[in-house]
Amino acid sequence: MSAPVLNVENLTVSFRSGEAWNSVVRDFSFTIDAGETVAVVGESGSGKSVTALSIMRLLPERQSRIEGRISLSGRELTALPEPEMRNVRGGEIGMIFQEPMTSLNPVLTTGFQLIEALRRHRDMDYAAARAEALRLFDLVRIPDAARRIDEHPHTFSGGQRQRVMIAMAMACRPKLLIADEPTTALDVTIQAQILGLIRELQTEYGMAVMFITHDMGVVAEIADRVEVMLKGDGVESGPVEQVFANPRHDYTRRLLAAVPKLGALGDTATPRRFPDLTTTPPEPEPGPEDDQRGKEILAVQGLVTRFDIRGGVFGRVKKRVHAVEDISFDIREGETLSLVGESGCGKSTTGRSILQLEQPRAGNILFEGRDLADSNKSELRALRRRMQIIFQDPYGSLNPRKTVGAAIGEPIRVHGLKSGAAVEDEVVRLLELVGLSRDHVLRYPHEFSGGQRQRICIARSLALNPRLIVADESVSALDASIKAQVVNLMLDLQREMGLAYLFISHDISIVERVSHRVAVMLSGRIVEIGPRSEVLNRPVHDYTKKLIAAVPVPDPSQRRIRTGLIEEELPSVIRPLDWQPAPSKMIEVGPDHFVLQDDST
Amino acid sequence: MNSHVQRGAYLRQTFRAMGAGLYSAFNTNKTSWIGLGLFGFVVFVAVFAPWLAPYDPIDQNILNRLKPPSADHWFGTDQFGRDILSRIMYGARISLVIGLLAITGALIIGSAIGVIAGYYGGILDIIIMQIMDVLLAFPALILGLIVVAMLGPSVTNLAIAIALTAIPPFARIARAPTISVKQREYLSAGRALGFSDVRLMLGHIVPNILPEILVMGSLWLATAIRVEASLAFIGLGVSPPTPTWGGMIREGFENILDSFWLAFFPSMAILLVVFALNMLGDGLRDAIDPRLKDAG
Amino acid sequence: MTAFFVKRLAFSVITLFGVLTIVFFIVRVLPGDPALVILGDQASQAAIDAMRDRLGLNDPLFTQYLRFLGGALVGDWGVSMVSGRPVVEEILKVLPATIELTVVSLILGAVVGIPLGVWSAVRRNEVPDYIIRIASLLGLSLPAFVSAILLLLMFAITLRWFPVMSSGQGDTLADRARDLALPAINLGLIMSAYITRVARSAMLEVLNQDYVRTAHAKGLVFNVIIWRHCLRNALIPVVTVVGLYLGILIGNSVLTEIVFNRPGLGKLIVGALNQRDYTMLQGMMVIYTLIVVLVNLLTDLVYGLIDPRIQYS
Repeated sequence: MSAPVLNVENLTVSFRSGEAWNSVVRDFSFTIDAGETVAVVGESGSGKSVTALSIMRLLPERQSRIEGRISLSGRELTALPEPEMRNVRGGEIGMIFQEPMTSLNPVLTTGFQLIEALRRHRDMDYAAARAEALRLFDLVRIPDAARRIDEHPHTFSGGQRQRVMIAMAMACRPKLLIADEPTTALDVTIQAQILGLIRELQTEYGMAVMFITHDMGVVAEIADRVEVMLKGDGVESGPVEQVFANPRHDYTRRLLAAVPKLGALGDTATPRRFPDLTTTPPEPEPGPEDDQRGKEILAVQGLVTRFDIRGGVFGRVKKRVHAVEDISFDIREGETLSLVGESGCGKSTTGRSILQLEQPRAGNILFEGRDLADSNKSELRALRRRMQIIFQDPYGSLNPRKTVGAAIGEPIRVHGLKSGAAVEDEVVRLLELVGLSRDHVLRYPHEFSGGQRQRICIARSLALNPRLIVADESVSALDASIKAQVVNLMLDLQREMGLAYLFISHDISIVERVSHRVAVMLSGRIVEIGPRSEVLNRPVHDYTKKLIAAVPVPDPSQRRIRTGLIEEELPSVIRPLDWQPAPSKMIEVGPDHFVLQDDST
Repeated sequence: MNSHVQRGAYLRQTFRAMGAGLYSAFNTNKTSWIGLGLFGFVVFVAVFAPWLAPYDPIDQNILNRLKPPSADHWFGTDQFGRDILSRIMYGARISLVIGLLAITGALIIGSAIGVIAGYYGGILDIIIMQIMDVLLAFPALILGLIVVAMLGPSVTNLAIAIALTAIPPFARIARAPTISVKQREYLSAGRALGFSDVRLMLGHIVPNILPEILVMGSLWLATAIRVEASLAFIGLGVSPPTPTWGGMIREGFENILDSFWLAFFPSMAILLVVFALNMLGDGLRDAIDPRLKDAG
Repeated sequence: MTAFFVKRLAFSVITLFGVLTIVFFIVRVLPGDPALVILGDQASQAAIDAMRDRLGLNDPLFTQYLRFLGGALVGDWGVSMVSGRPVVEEILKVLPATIELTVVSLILGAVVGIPLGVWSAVRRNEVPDYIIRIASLLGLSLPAFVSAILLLLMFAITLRWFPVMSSGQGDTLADRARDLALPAINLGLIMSAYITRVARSAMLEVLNQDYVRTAHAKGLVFNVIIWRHCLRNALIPVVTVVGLYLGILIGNSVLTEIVFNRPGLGKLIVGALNQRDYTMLQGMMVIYTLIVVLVNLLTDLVYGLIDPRIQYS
């Protein structure tokens, strides 16, 4: 066999902190052959992105130190003078990043940014570079390329911007493509398209691909070999089938166990905890639970929420965002209803509308049999206390200047539920309920990890003894293992207290784990709603099918990546003022299983 | 409910958080300490001027007029034979009192306007900020000039005039972080927990934006002192014989060709205090500016 | 772009009304009596009443407001109470000198300030950065009249390179340039201190952006990244802030004109103040408002040219 394209030997990367050096990658070695895809997997802080930036030598020079050997086709990169390194960057190694929205320069046209790369490395004149850029735009399937090439990035969607990034990285037919979490910020159907595109280009050009991700599902779909990183160390390495079938390192085992496999729950009706693998011996996969659902607690009927887009000279309403358009559902005590959908489908707006954080345009929201719209101010206040919300960003949802004790105690005091020392006792009780302790009362949020912060948020929302909790992407920002723990906590609380959850998420695998019932949203409407096992195992609506098909399966033997997926975007929910939405008509396709009647049904 | 205890706890928490924020900001940027030291020196001299000043700042001594700097008069004497050093020491009092009065007033009123506009948003915000933006672009000196000309030059009137010109910047400074805090999920969580608007503004927004506002306060105090001196230089300062730095430069400017020290030393005094405040505020701003925190 | 322009234009007209209104009411609502200001403390009550009548101050406030607005719009800003000539005429006579001074200073400020700011940001926390930061901090700590006096002491009195008094009406271009040099340097250096600082912090923010990393990953040369990819993005906040600093520029131009005894709006307004020329003051407020609104409109347009996100919307 020929020499590997990339050979990393004993790579150690350190960052300066004051006078000392902290190593963030230690003694890490791996190789990538031509035509091969190696996935570097790890949770946040594992050093996987730093490894990529070290290969490109893009780390700030004064603050970082690279030791070890990095060679590209036999040429040592660590000692290369900067001007020659610049020829390597973009010439021999192409790179795409996680954030397509911010990775393109907003004041230059996309075409120019591509042409610039071509002229830098391929010695073309402007006309030739432009022609080549057009070809690349076609290659990555940007529709209407001849026109779009002269437009600025802000007119492109996230998926399209990532395509432009790929075109740019591919411009000089690099030997190595480094993709640093290229699909993390994208919706799952767009992710499938981008993964397909990368695979297709790889086959065509025979390049080596270093694919960095935290998502085991994506790994299973795309990688030939896997490198697992933990806190700066490479802990396991091997062919993808072997790592998935026979993980040798404990950490890999935990990582794989924490990954929900869509379809794992089969036809059972209730949610199921993740097994706890931190104990020895590890907990076995828990069995199905009893159905403890009670009477109806929330009923949403014909909810409509729209936002005005103002414009023109006098700030008149020009267009409307039809964020939520005539949706109805109910939730019972002790039940989890999940709202799934891709960004902009209106799932978060639905949650916020129920809590009156957004003003609905129409529809009724009945909570414990009372219509929120008919309630006066003090009744509304009392009702709202019994509905709470937990958000996605564990860093943004706690006031950085309040101690944990003050944050949890504040609602108790404000509503006069307890006073004096009793407040503190209650705060401690709540903290212990979510798995934290008395010692945490006087600490500030920044002293906690993401998972702990999410526990604090849960404790705070429980302070008012709610019956319904809206969990708006509450576990999306967490690493897989932490995610599993927080989900378990939520399920435990549900069992003990009979809580109802409206679980809003874009992640269908996690949704399967937590829900009794599932509603799929598309462009402001529910297109399919029903028992979880029915909707996920026997989807009826086209969109539900497409969504489920796009979810990466964390099992390399079931690889489904399809190349040649055409660029397809979700329909816009921005409409002219005179647009008259048709009412949502749901057809029953099974017991308690409804599908929206539209073009596809 | 025991609202007193609660309010006390609120304030304590606010101040503790603020103190911690400012202290760490100071330590991040060491030049702030130099600025604070220089400014502290000026404040010390102003407060203890009656004990520190070698001569009476107002007593005239015609025999001793227009003397260049010497051992007896370090900074020389003016056309009435008054000791320039002593006049500078007393002049610091006027500058500081007017500056502090004006900025305290502008800080409170301006921040309140900014927080309210940012919190409620919509049409109210658009109208308020449009007015503020226009006032902001309107030359502070001209506005101050007109107001003082109408009111007459006194310490209070000068403070009012300067405060008027400083309200718009504070409204702007307070509004931006209010909007960013408002979009934080802890504010939505607070609304879901049933907190009132006033509680959210005073308890959750203000403590978060206060360090930023105080830092801007020190920068605008520098501006206020500069504007006061400029007004005095134009002839709209506190009336003579009370010593003001701007006024001294105005008088000294008439003799600039042969007695440079008349205008030179008060100029240096203004430069010292404005530079000290700018150093203080600028260092702190760099330290607390979240946009620059991660910059390599 | 056209829609954007029309919108900004409409905004400007509304703003113009707004400021004129605010200025009018600030002057009228404040406790001072213009008649008293004009005539001085010793004036008799009868004289004051007569003056109030002459100024139309006894009419209802709203009538006065309409008259003020109407006059301002048709260019009838009254007659100077000192010279007896129309206010508009007096202002137009000196306006070119002030515009000449401020425009030259602004160009000087940008030409010096932007490169210094960029350099400072690129060399963050290194020696050039420290020097530039201290120097620019000194620059904006100097009241314009203090720096003007220092320049005057240095270059006109000690070194005698430039005239002490500048007429601003020199016959030849060389004369004009000599007259303009010191005032423009004074104003321009202060402006450059402000611009340096804004350019530096804007640049620091831009250097941290993902697209700069992308540009590095393409293998572009450092200077291309800085001047092609970063500067244009950094200019967006610089333009905004320069618009906001207009007030400071105008204030400083007044002080500069006084120190260098240069004709212009500054000397006119101070003269009007000293001679209690009430109508002249009112006219000055209108002209300053007009300048502010016009420059804001101009800033918006430049902004629209730099930022493509605006051209499309």
